[in-house]
Amino acid sequence: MFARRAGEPLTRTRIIAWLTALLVVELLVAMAALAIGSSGALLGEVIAWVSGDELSATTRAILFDARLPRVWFAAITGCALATSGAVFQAVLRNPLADPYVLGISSGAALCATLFLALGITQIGGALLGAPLFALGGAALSLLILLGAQRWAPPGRDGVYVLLLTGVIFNAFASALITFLKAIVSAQKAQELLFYLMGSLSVEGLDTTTMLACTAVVSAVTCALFWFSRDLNLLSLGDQDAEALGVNARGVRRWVVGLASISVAVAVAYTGLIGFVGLVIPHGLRLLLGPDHRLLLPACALGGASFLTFCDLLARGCFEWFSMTLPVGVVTSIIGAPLFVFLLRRSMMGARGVR
Amino acid sequence: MDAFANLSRTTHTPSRSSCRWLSLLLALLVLFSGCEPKKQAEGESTGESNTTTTSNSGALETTASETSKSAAPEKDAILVARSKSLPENPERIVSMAPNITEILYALDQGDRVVGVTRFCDWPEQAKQKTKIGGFIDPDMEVILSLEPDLVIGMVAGDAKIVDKLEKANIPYAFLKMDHFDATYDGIAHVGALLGGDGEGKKKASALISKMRQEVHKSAAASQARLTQQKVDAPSALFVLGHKPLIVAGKGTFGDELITLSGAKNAAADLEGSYPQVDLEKLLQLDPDVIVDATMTPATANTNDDFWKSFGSLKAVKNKRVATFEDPSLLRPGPRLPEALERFSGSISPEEK
Amino acid sequence: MSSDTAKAGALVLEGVKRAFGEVSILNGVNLRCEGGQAWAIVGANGAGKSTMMKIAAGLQSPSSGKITLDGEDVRSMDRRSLARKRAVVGAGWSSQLFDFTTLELVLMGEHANTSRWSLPDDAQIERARAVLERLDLSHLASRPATVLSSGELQRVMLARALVSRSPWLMLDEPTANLDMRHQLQVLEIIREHCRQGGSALVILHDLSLVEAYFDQVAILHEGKIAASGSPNEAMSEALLSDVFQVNMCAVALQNRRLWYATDTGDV
Repeated sequence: MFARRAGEPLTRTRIIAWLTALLVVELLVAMAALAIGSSGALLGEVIAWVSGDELSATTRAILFDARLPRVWFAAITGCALATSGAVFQAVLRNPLADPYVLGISSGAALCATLFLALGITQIGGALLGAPLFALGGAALSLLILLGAQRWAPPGRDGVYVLLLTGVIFNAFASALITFLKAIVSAQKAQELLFYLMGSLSVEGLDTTTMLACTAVVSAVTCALFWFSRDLNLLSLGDQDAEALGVNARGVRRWVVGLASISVAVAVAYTGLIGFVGLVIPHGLRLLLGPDHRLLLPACALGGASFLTFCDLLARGCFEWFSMTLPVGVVTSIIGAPLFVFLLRRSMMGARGVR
Repeated sequence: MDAFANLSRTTHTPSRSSCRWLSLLLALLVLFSGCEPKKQAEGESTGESNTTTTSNSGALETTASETSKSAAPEKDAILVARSKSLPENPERIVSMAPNITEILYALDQGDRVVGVTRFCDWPEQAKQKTKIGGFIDPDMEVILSLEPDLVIGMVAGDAKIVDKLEKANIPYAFLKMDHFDATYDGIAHVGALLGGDGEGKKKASALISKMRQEVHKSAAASQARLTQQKVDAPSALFVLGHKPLIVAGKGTFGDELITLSGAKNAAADLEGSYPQVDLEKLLQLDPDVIVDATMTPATANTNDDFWKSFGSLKAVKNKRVATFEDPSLLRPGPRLPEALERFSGSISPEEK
Repeated sequence: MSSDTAKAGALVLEGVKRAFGEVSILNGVNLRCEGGQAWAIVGANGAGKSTMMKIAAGLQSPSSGKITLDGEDVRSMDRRSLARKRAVVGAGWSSQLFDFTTLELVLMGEHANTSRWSLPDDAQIERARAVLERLDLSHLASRPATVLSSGELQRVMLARALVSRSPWLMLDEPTANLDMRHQLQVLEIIREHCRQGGSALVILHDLSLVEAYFDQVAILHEGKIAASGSPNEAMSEALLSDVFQVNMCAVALQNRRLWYATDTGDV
């Protein structure tokens, strides 16, 4: 009844129904992710805790110091990546766009890599960390990108310029990162690899930082919802959108900027986690339709659930590999076949009556 | 001209919007950098101070010493990081590096070890212990679940783990051992960490003297053989990787093995601890002996092909390319004397 | 649909010039289109008709000159107000990125009339369905627009323009890709729209249809309006032969002429 099958335009009921469902899914997955981890399943304890029992200090430490930060950050990062992916696909008019296509993440990764490679601890008295470098790198990339947008021609060509700038910057940053990997010691190189693969090992992060990240990502995501209708119209092409009353260039600039901030915050702490920003928007679009008024909030919740789930798997497999898999590996292993499956289904759907 | 700019009613210029983004991002940076000093404050409150050294060890590099209430060792060049309080008699020890595991077992403390990395493969019994992850990717949750009294690790591992252990209030000690003497000191520190009214220290001393004796014996024997064969300090290269070709430079364990065996490290003048060399450089260095740690008896034959391509080298022509079969012997731990024994056997082989 | 159409004001182009670099496309276009009139624009390919329409719609700026719609300068209006006053459908603009259904596409026409957070209400959906019915597109309402043929897509774009309830319709070749029946259907809808107080500016190639359905025509030639007025007044064999560089002949019917072209001199 709520599926796209009806062919009816979006109604309030459908939005509420779907978002509630997705929220429930996220809460369930989060609970499961708290219950399962590298030291075993604590399902009993979690249920006991929920019903008010006390926990042993160890269990408490495991749940709240080791697992909760990861689950929390998985939700934030998944939300940031999926929403940004959806928004980039619309604004760049490219179904293959993901949050990393414009190079913001490359800039962030490059600076974080520089930090890891050089092992810089202090500059002028302030204790710096890799995330700060990453944010700085992202800021730099965003400036370059906005600069490119300034002299880009309006309309379709402008989008190409944006995309090309991103692609070129990505290639450039990748080359530099590879160079850094080649000149550092073998062990540092492995550290770099771990970072670049994407991981959610944020256990040491203090609450203030977590809250700050949550605040930024939530604010940006809500701000992106503001542009939902404009994004619908943008998919018709710049001329049509302008004719109907949308400031195509302005919307593009705002949306790219906002989404980039969100991606930058995610990448700074977790590295490059792939596939979330690509697969979730496509999957949800197939299920819910392309209307961004439902799609964007759905991506926010769906992305959070997906990444939390992947993190659950990454930690749950500790027994077999004696290591927590980098979550970027899990998202790719699950995401790639999922993507192919969705692609085939959407191709088949496009040919016939839906 | 830009049609849309003309149509747009907002009078801001593009540069102004870039400025807006810049200030927004700067605000973010300030926000996040505001979070960082908290870590520093936490670090200070637990007695760790960070200095302006730049090194690969990152946040773990400290040189400040600090008094502690227990008889546990102070911070120094070897014991690079420790938690504010250390237990008197740790019963449950987690080892975060293969060499630490070896040391603990060599000190007869295998029973007290509750967690090891997945790379800890000596002795055999170590493999049975619960795995806590890898050298640079230890899993915090598993460490927590083991409820350890003490975590001992090496500085070169995961730098973030110190903060995580701090937060979890788990006592820890991180050591730095990058040459023979440092290893002896390190073993002494581990002994001290074990407490037990000096039991640990005694065992450590015993192990250290045994190691020194064996090292001395092997070194002397090797030098004697060289003198006998009327060879004067042959030049040697210790190869640790084929693609790219990496050799042991000055100040590494490999370098010490060479010197102790009575040879000269051909790579001593090269920059860095593990310099990369190409054929040209290799020809320049032209060592008398090459000890290759990347080959095993199984691969020795196929790797002969590798060295064939360097046929113009003295060592290859004279068939002085030897295999160093077990690179894991090179861990800063109790098996160093054995490493030297095998190594010197390649430098100064017995006359047939 | 038609009862909501507001009365259209006048569209005035004064001294509109447009050059792309060295090449001058429009050389001073002066045109006054009163509200309530159905205007056809004819001219040779590349004469600048589409450019003129985009400039009239406020989507491009002229190199010089002024365009007023209902007394207001088109370039000084913000996009939404402009969208409420005029609906423009270009030729070959539309591209589909996502698979919105036809109905959803048509409802996008209400963008300028509705607020950011509103969803289409029943009245709007009813209206949109009525427009689709009028254009023989009801059976496609639930289909994703990506599977439509070019002719169907053309009519969907027109439906979207009608749904927006803008008094002015600016259409670039709305009959291209359409079969005979649908061509007449579209032109009839435009005529009805104007009868109810709206206005239309339509670029067309078929001169006979222009005679049949439009009360005013402007002929764009060499960057200027060569002639404007009712088809009878403005369209003459001599002028049109000059414009199209081919022998244009008219055959008089009861109340209008039928136009055809020949290469040779035979009549």
